[in-house]
Amino acid sequence: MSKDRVIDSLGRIDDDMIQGVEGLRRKKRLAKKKRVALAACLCLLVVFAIPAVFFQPAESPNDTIAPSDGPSSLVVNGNKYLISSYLAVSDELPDGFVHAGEADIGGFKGCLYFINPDMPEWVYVYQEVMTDGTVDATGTLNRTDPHNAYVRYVDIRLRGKDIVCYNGEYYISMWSAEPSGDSPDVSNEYFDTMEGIYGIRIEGDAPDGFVSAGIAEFSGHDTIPRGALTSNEGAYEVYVNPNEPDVILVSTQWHTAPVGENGEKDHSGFNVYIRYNCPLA
Amino acid sequence: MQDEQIVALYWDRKEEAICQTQQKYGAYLSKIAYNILSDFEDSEECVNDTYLKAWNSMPTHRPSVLSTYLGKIARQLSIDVFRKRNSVKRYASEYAISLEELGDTFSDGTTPEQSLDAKLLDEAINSFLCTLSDDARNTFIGRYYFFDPLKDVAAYCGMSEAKAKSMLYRTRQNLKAYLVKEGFDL
Repeated sequence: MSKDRVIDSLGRIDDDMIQGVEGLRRKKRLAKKKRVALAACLCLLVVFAIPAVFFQPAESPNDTIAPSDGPSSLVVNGNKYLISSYLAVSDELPDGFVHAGEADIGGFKGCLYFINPDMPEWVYVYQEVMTDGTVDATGTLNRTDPHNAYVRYVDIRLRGKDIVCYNGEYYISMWSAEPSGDSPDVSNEYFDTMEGIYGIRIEGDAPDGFVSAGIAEFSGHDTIPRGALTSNEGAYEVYVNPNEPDVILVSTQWHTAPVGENGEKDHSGFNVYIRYNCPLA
Repeated sequence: MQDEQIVALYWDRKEEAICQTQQKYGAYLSKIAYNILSDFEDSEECVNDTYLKAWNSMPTHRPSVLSTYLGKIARQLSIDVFRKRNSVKRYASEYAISLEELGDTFSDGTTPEQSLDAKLLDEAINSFLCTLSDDARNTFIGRYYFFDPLKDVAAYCGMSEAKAKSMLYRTRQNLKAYLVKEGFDL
């Protein structure tokens, strides 16, 4: 049985099953503007993501070539960077970044890339894009004629990770914590233990013992939050329990529309963040 | 505009049908094509071909759910383009990644089983999907029908990425076992 046959057959599955997932996708977008931006951003990714990127940094013979199966990527100083999952395209090179070499990306040869020693988690690549990175009122990525722009790439250890810094300790959202792979954020055992105790998300009031520590200061997407109470996800209220230092709760809201039911519902509660050793801090 | 009205425009051979379709489902179809091709221009071409195919198929078809009808067309057209051009133009798309994931369970796409009755396989896969929990079915369809990125699938199915990945793995293995049980030669 070839996978192409399976793929083709999946294209002919019953409409009601497809509609069930369509509903989830649609409601998720409508319920949370942030997810809309992310979806649009993924469109941005595919605009860039063409063939694999084979990158040979100029400044160090020890750097490696990184064939990519997914979004555009490059390796600088041994660290892999993926194109940002947020809308990070600009006409001007951000302050502090300096030219560091050239890379071939998606068929575009000799794209200049730029690094900032004070911000090693980002690399900017000057490459062809077909967007200015903005979205319209419906959340659709605005399209432009092909032009060159500075595109942010983010260290894979940070990209897509929702992180809170509370009193110098780092906590990662259970949604984005990766317990497997070559460089897991946390161990499988730790992840399973915490998931068993707290779950991924808690609906309703904060559990006994958790009290508000205030609203986290938003440090910006793709950043490493630093300070007393900061978050790279957004300015959300954070709850802590002095007796349970390995976990904090971040207030959230969501919307569900269960398949096969009519009961669409708004929920409120908390995303569970667990303590972890932030490798870039 | 309601789907029935748009379908009626097709049946009346009014070109406004295309405009209304584009307005209502353009982004939806583009997303499907993007996930497969990861190329803006190729995707746009497939979406335009979808409109043409819809125009040529209505009449005689009168789909009750226009989104899935158009989505299936766009999906297959995009996959056809992927297969046709991938040898000379490599697409690093979510579809390509999904194919690799399926590679741990099924063989490459060039193995000959053309005599296999596609309808039997369609029925078997439909039946298998009906046996799954809502979560397992939705993650599977999200990943292998829509080819949405894993993170998106996990988010709209309300679970962690790690759990979605693990669930997809189990579902692929269960599908393989199911098809073997149903007499398909894997």
